[in-house]
Amino acid sequence: MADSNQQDFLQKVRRSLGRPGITPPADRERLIGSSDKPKPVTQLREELEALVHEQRDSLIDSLEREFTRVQGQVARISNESDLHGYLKELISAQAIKRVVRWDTSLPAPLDDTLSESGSTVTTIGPEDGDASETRDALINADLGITEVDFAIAETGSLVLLSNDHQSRLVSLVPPIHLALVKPSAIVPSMAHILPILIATAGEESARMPSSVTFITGPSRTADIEKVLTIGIHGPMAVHLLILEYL
Amino acid sequence: MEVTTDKFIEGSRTAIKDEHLQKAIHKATSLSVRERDHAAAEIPDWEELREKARNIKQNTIERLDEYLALLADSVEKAGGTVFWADTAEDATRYITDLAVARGVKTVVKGKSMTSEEIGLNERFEELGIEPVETDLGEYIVQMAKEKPFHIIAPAIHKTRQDIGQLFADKLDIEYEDNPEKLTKIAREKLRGKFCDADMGVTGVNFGIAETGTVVVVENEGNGRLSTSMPPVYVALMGMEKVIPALNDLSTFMTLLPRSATGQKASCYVSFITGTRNVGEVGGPKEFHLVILDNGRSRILQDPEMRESLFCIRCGACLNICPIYNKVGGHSYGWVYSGPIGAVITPQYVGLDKAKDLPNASTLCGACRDICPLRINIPHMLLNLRHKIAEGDKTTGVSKPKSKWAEKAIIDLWVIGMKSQRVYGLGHRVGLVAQKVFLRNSKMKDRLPLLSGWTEHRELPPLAPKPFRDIWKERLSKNGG
Repeated sequence: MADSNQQDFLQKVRRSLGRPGITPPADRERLIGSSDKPKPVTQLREELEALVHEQRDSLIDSLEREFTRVQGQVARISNESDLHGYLKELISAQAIKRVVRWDTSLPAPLDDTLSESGSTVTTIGPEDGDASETRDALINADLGITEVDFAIAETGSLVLLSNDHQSRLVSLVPPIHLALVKPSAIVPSMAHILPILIATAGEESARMPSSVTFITGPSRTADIEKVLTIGIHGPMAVHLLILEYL
Repeated sequence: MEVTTDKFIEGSRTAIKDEHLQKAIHKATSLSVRERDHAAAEIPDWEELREKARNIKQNTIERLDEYLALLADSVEKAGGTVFWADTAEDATRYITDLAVARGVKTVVKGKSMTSEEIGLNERFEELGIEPVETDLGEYIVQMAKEKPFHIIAPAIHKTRQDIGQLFADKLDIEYEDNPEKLTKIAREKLRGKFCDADMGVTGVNFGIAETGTVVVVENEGNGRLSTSMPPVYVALMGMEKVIPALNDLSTFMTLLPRSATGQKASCYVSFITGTRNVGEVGGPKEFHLVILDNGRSRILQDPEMRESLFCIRCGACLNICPIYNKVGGHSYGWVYSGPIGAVITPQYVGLDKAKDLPNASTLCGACRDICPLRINIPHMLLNLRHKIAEGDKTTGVSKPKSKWAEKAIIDLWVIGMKSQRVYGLGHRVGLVAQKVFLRNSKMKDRLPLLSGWTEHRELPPLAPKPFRDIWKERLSKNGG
């Protein structure tokens, strides 16, 4: 809805550009449209899957290399027992007592290891968002566990979408973030993901997710004398587990 | 923010004499340039990407009103509210009214040069609302009550000892100057603020018209916290930040982090679209996009100056500029410094208030060469110099009265250049006259009438034999 304030503002812009007339109503197709007919999201996903499958080994190598380069911790997990071992070691080494996690179905060993260790686990799901207990759980957590929707091999970036089972804060508030990725989710570059986000928004959800976050390593700053320091407001450490057996 | 652009010369002199400052600037910018060069070299089609980015911006700016209309439409469809701020006052009034209406006591801020442009923090403070800068560099300059020194690294002029002393004084803690420890202190001190804040405000790197998405690029995580924890999120966007489509982003996201800090990717890139989805757990319940004009439409009026709005705020031009490297960011007297600052600041605050900024350049062109969008800064600086010299209605600067000596010299020069005879005579007279001023076959400093020019410039003596005589001799020798 264009109120008079919007009209005045845009008219001023248009006049400054030396263009006659008034701003026409927003026409998405004319302003954004490309010459090609947009592909349906199922086709885009299939094509990406095929590409990812073909380049699987080099994509995993690149992701591992780039994520390590940005001071992330990476481990290739070849079976359920390794997964259990890694998490057990992490919990012990970092004295993890309280965990928050996405409300998605994580691989079974994870839940088992967590309950074995005796740490309190808070799953943040659709009903929990604003509860003060949820807030407290997040703020006091030692570890946050999520999956990733995509991982970008070129830059070592993890891509997390927000929705009713995937809270933005689990990968942000606790000092340690543990992320699980399946090889089928590792894509070459950001450019491979953007068309899928658009197509999904167009066909399935009527809008983009409220948040898509690209995470490239633990938080950092170089604001003091350009000295790189790892760990400021976001997590101090990120552990990426590549579940090769899935 | 207070405008002290008319104190540029004074500020520069102080900065140049400050050895401590000179060392800090040099250390920071030389490293940034090396890192940037390395990162750009990794991209084989870097030049094509620059061209592509420039074309996207050009197309968008030329139809800015239409893309802004689409952006607003998309934001509203995603549950957001759009406010059109013609002036800085419009923007601050909207945001502070909103804060008061929501009972806001604490605001957490992600880095936003635009918010400094409109003086938002001061308006909050007047109302007893606490604005907390959470980006480490901004946190430091806020504590020191200073302006940011650099677009990307606001506190780069401070050594670790400076910062250690600042924290000890203001936070009432023991002195500590290890950067890692100082960083941890900032994390601890600010944690509670994110949790308690009633409102988050950030700037916008890119506004995607197609989807109504605001893109926030950062390394620290304070942007993510500011946009995700408080119930109300306000994104403040200069209107030139809009780009057409989500797919356009991959071009910019290759150029921006590499140009700014030499990174392949900044640590966090957030695509924020509207309010939380139905059923989504967490995220702000209210999303407000404040679209700011504040003089940008005036810049659009001159087609030669439009590309000053292509800037994606990477800071590369600051790092490479020989002037910025000597005078630093504070000399420019406002929010935006360095080459891009010299171009846009006069257009925002008034050419008459910032006359020295377009002259603060050797026109070497290093800024244009390093700019990811190939913004032709030297061309625009010349354009501004012309406006200052000749007067300009749009920007309200009146033609200055000529200095009689300068005018006389230029008039004489014109006469000399128009006539070969006069030129030759002038040369012969000059050879005799200059003997008075020669010391060891060099012209002395501070010639009378020209001391302003010659104090810092070396005037070469006239050659004993003019080129045309040498040419004549050579031709006759060679039977020409």
